[in-house]
Amino acid sequence: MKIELVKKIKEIIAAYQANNEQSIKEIKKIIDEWKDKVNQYRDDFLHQTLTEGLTEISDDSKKVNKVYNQKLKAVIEEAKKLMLPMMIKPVKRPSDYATKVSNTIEYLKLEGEEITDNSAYMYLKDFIDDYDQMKLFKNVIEKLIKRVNPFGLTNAEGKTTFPKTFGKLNQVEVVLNTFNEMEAIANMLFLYGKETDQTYFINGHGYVLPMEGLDEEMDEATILNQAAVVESIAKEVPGVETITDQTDHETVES
Amino acid sequence: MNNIELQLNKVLKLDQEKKQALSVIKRTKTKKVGLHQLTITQEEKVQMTSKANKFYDAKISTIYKAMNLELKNAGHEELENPYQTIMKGGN
Repeated sequence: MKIELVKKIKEIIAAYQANNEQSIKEIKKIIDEWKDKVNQYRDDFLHQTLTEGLTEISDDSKKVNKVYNQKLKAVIEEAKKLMLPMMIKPVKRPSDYATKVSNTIEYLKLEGEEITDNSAYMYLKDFIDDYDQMKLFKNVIEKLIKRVNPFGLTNAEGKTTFPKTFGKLNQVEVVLNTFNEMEAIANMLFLYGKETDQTYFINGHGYVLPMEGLDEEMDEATILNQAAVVESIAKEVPGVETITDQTDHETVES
Repeated sequence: MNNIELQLNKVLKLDQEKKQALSVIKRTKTKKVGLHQLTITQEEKVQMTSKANKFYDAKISTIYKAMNLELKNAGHEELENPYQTIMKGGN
């Protein structure tokens, strides 16, 4: 199974930007066509014709951008569907599982604040693949060491102090959080109201060229960075292949 | 590539075809009737534009209906068809 998140998102952004550029070209064309005819037509006719023409272009562009937004969400959903089952596999819980969990918690409590990554791993190695259970064990250990390490299971630099025990859990959490952040950005990406770059004045009426705003550009860069984070983790997940993006994507969706 | 991506690509392709068709209608000034070449009236252009819009929007609508059925069956949120909500009778 292959994951091509960065490549696909880059292609969608490039297509979206090309669509915007095309709209701007069309708007400029209409303005150029009519700006020299101010003396030939009545002002209200000229204004109505220009407004209708520009609205039509803007409406058409919004429809296409909505499709790009839907495509972006579909791409993220697909990557999620591909990766998460490889990372969070269903765990077989034997009949004495609850007893084992309970005993393990007692052992962890006995270790108390002296607990180390190695000792924790010895107790928890049989539970490593159980994402939900490991989250609970993580909470238990965090509480145990809270007094000696106010940063919890990380050091002052934010790096994990229990990589052996919670490395896999941390990886899953990073992926889940990254997907959540990507989905939050994808909700509005390509649908922002456009910012105004240039305004043309004809007979006292202003006609604006819609441009991509700074917020939108930042969100595009952020979502690409997050896609790269997901792909870098995907490389370490058995069963998920990543496709390294080595090309510039200036192409437009056909 | 999943099915939803493929279907959305089809929508984008139809959108481009629609734009090309509308552009041809806009540029065309005359029509042939028998041996005569007649000027296309503004009213005829409006009718042709409306027909082209309806034709492509209906095709797109069919794709969205199929996609939404698939999404609904999978327990996902349905997609809004932008070509339906902002559709105009003729412009």
